[in-house]
Amino acid sequence: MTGENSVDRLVDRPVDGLVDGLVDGSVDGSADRLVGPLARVRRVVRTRRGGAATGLVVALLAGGIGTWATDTWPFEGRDHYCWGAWQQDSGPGVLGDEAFSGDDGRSRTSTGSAPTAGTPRGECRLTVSSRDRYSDGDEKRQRTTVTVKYGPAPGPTADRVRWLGGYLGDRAMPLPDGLPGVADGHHGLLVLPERCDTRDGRPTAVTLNGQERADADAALSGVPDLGGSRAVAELLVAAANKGMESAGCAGPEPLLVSGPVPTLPERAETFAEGGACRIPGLDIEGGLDKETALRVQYQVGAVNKDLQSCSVRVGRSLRLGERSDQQLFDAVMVREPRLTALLDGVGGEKPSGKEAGKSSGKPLGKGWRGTGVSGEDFALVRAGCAGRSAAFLTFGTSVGSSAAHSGHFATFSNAVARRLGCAPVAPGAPGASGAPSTAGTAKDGSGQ
Amino acid sequence: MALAAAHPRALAARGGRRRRRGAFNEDDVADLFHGKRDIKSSEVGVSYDRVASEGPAGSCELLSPRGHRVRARLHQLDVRFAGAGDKWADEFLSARMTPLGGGLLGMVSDTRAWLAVPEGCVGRSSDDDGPLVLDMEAGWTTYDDVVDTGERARLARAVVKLVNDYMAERGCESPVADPTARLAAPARFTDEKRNAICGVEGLGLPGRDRKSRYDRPLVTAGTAAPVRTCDRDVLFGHPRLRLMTVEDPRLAVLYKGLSYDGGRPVTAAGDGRAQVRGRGFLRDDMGLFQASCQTGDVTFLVRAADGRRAADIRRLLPQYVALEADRLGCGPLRLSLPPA
Repeated sequence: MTGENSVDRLVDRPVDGLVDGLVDGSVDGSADRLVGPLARVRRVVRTRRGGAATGLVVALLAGGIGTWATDTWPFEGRDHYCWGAWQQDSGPGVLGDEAFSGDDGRSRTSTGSAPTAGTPRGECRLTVSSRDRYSDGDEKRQRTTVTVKYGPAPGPTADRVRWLGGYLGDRAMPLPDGLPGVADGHHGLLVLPERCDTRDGRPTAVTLNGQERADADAALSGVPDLGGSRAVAELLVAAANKGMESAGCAGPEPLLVSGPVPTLPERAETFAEGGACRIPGLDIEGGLDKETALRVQYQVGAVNKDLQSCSVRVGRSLRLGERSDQQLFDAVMVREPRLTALLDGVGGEKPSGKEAGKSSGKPLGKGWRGTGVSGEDFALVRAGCAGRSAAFLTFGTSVGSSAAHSGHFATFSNAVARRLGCAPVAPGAPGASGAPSTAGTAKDGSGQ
Repeated sequence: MALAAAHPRALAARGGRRRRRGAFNEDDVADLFHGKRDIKSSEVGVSYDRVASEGPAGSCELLSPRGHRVRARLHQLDVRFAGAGDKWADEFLSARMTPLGGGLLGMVSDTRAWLAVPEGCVGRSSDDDGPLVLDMEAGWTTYDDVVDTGERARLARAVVKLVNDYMAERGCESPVADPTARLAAPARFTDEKRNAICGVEGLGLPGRDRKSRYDRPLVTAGTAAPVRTCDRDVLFGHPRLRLMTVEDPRLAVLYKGLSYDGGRPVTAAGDGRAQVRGRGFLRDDMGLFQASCQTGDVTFLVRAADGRRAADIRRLLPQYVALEADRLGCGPLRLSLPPA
């Protein structure tokens, strides 16, 4: 019968695109990754739409193997999720069979509504669930959710700084090929082209967040595996393309993830010598008690012309029953014009005094270059740096004093400014007032 | 790595269920050999050594009856001192190489090409391992010739094709796109200004006329290159004098071991127990400093083919490191040299 040859022939075909429409008898794109006879059977079934007789025979043969059929099996085509932006088995792990960690009760569904021309905001939630039952009666449930949001940045200053900083910091790396956005293994942000800006000129962004529901008795909260940062980038771009289409601002060509997605070293780094996050003079452990200092972890994110981040955490202590790491210090420099545009109207465009009255922060302290606001647990400074407008932001201090925190932020900002070849932005740097460092003034073109 | 083209069916058995036709078809091979189709090939498929300590490795060779030979090799960069690293760095990081660009870690000339397998596919190697690279050698390099951009484009396409094939075999989608359109113009020999050795503004040697002692330099062309190399007087593939800055931290492992134990130690001025900004050494034929910059480890080196330029190396190293560190936003960096 259809047998091996047809399977091999089908497998040789190229992988379908992420948002391609359903083609009659479409090929199961992830087939290469499946192994074993079960996978082959399933592939034949899925790939032969309308071949009901064949499917039935194969299904009967496979009947003894167990509960292998997913809810999508077998006579409809591949499922679509999130406004039709994502297609089952189109590449990213969370859309393939590898998304399920358990063998039983597999389901993948999505809810939410797409943006429209009238209401250019949308949201969608993809839920992947499965379970495994062990012989001792124990049951392990998986519930992975991926939330996509389409719309402008949140309004209040503090929220917006935390919102943007949360995507840009930690392990996020810039998207390839100049796409204005970032992604890591479980979340990402992409700013849409100017034609999708709101009527009052604010950029629209698409964000993606993956979450793993922790087991009730698990010691650690889970990290969702969506298939790596490339998968996140592809999901993000596919949602953006579909969202733009629905909202009526799609361009002639859809956005595309091309080129390698940069990757960070596998683990958080420790810095036995020199400054934290490779920032000269950034001494975070010095202000902590000895026991806490031993648990400090650093994560250097991207370090390039457009983006730099440093995240410091206090590692969770299982002994103290902590289930997650504690945020200690996060600082980000961003210079990519579309990403910084997300902060427009926040302490950057107008004199900070006026602006600060409307938002939740105060003007920055004396001696900072440029404009900015600061609040209880965030700060934002915008200043010209080497010919462009740069934003320096920090957010979130659950441990440590605010004085130490603003000192760390000043050290970070000045070190990054120096790296980029522009004048110091924070007070207290050698040459910050009146006599900028030689490297700084020479190249600082914009001089705000 | 299946590279050969002659008999597509012969390779089908090896590639598992996916039918394999080799990374190169006959046209690809003909492209590399100026349209000739009588090319023989031999290969060693990708395999691991017994304890998998050196990563996957494989190689293949294409040979024309007229003696033109193209070799391709997949291997993890050898980072051990006096290993293949030194020879590799001399040839594959030479100033004739242009960066492939587009976020790729790789370079190409008309006789050499290399490209690291993107980390999205194989993961990022640990701090102590070199990246997994595919490199190609297409014969003898005449350093005095300007790089032939046609040949360079052929090699660039070929190395990308091989990496894409390796990634496809590993189940990685999203192949690397053709880089040839964005390649910078190749490096050209330039006349040095008196106080700008290798084009580094402010770098000079006092008093004497350098022209009598060193040829004109060749400096890496293109922006965002993983290395900036300045070679001169290249003999049998080895430069008589090289000034090089390894900017991409993923290549820092090439010199990491050496930085600890290469000669009499060099430190950054002001370093002590509280801060260490890097480490290096000075000896008669070479000076090296590996600095911890915000972007990661950056390596600066000044190297001669023999020990006869010891005084020049001693003068050049601290100046070169200070100026290059400033350029990269890693300054100020002043070195303390061991006593002469």
